[in-house]
Amino acid sequence: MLVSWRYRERPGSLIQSFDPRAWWVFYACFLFSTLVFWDFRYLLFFFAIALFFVLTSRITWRESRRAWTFIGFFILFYTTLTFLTGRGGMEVYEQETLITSIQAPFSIFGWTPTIEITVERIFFAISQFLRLFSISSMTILIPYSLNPAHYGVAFHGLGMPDKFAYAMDLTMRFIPTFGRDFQLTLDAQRARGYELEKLSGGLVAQVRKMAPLIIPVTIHALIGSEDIIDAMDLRSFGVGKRTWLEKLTYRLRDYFLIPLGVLILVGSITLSLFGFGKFWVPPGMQEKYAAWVDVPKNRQEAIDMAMRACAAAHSTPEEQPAVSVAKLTTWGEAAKSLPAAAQQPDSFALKDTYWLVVLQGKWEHPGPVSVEPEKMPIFNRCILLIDIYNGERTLISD
Amino acid sequence: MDKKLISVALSLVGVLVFFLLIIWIGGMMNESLQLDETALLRFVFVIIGLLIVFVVFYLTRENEIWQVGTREVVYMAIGAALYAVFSFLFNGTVFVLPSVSQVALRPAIVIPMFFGYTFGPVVGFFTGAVGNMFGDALTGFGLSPQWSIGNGLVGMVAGMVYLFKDKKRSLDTVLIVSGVLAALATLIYLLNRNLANMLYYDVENNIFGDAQISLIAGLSLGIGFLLVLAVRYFYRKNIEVTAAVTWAMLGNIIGIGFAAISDIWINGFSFPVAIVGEFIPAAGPNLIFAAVLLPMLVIAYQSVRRQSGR
Repeated sequence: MLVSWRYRERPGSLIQSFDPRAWWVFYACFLFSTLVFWDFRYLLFFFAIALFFVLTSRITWRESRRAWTFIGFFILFYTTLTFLTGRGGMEVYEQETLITSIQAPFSIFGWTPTIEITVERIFFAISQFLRLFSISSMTILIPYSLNPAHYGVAFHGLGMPDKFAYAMDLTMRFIPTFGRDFQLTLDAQRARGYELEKLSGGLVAQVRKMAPLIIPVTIHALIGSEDIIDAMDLRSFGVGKRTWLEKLTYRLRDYFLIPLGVLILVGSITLSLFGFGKFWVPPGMQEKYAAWVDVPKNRQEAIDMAMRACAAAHSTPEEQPAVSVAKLTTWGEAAKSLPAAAQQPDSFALKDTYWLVVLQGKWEHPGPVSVEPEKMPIFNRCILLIDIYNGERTLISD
Repeated sequence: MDKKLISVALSLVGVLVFFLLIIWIGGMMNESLQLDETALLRFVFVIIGLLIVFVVFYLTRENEIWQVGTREVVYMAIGAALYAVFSFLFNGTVFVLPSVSQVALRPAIVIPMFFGYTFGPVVGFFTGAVGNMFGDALTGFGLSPQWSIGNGLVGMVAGMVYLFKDKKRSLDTVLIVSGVLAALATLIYLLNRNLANMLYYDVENNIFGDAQISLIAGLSLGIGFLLVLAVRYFYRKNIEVTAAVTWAMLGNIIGIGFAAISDIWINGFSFPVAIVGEFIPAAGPNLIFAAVLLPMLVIAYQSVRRQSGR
């Protein structure tokens, strides 16, 4: 009943020289660490690790061709799709810097296909490619390089109760079997005229038409399970403390691999907790292509601009104001230094980048004429926020 | 057992303290270090989900439904493998199934429901959680552990039927509870009809979870509920079928509800967005599949059992 994954002994393969338990730990750490980041500089590190293990795995192209084609196709498909439409990346960036837009030389019913190439889309596509490749290639390695005989004992060694370890073992072994059963059932039903691709009718009718696939595969699996249950019962499964045929022993290299994985994971989570590794685009690129509208180029220009703006909005300061903060930041972070009354520009601006300049000084606000001179409000801080994309300025004083 | 439990709890506390320390030290070094909780929250919700499972288990630990024998081990493995294979095949990358006015055809969900109902909550939970995990791994994309737990809860709740001595009497309560929850969700939809269906992707038409939810998708939970009522009426002589569908409905609402609501904190959705954009488009079609496919599976399995005499 069982069809196996394509495992075989590969002398000299690095990944196979590790203990499966150590490998699972490392894999889990790797997976979670990769998912934390969107910054392609960080992702390059994981990409390098994945590439290193793939190249040292001794898995030949010939035997893994289908798997690689499959994931290669989907990674390229998804990455290109996101790149062309720019839709998928909307979660991690909100502002785009247009490099060029390519218009098709024709139009269909008044619609001209246009591809907008932006800095963010390019780097999002790169990040996405690195992420997907790292995760899926590390996943592909598992069935090729983990001995199926070690599945159960490895999960047991990771602290799972025997029964659950065995259930995990069986799950991994059943997956290719059921995949094949599904294909057989699909072929058999197709031979009878069933067409999965051309479901028709209303909603319920369409759902009903899934039954000829789902039900035979499920019921066949359950009937087939009786043999396995019998075989396990005859060997007194679960009666006493279980012993495993294979014994796993950690070697020196495993004692390096596990801490390495844990270190990567802890490091990644720590970095991400502090906000590192979010989507990143080289500021140079953004600057180069940004449609600048009187946007400060550096810190000094931002400060000068704030000095002028504050002087214009209020009276001339009595003493030369001192700069307390001047930095590039997001509205979310800037809000910490803002008076509570400051409103955020709009709901999507939290991640936008601003120059934040806080000046300490003394300004008298001219205010309405009716205010008597001694009641004239005095401001001690003048805060200027400059949107680095469009130069939009927000002035706040308190 | 108890010693193990204590050591697990201690190590969890240790991890928590470690990260709190990091945050504290980081905050002392540089005040502008901003905490990004998204990654952490996923695991918080996985732990919350597991705690729910544990509490339910602890309160009913005397009951024999929590016993795991040879059969259960094999059924767990079969369920999880089937769920992984089906969700891999039907998730839109291998077979692109048409969606009927935004209701994507993802029939795999009946697997955890069926296994949970037929073989008990442990099998159901394992099938949903592990199956979803492997399904994600097969595709090689993303990882949302809180959705794995949510899928696990679907299977687990479906299997809670065995906590009741009288299946028939449990049905009305479950039906009313699910009906009220479904009605509430539908009401939220009716009040927020312009929200986007975030689970609807149509590459050809350039829609990536941002199209306004269609009327059918918005009402799908209500449609599913009506279908369940219809199943109760048509199969009123077969208690197994009606019980399976009714309990699967509750499991679906609770499990998917858990995952969608956790996204309020994880992805920063507002409550209506989580309900209308995520919960309804996931739970509604699931319920329709449950109402249509689950009776067939249960009946097919009944006849197999009669033949084999087990």
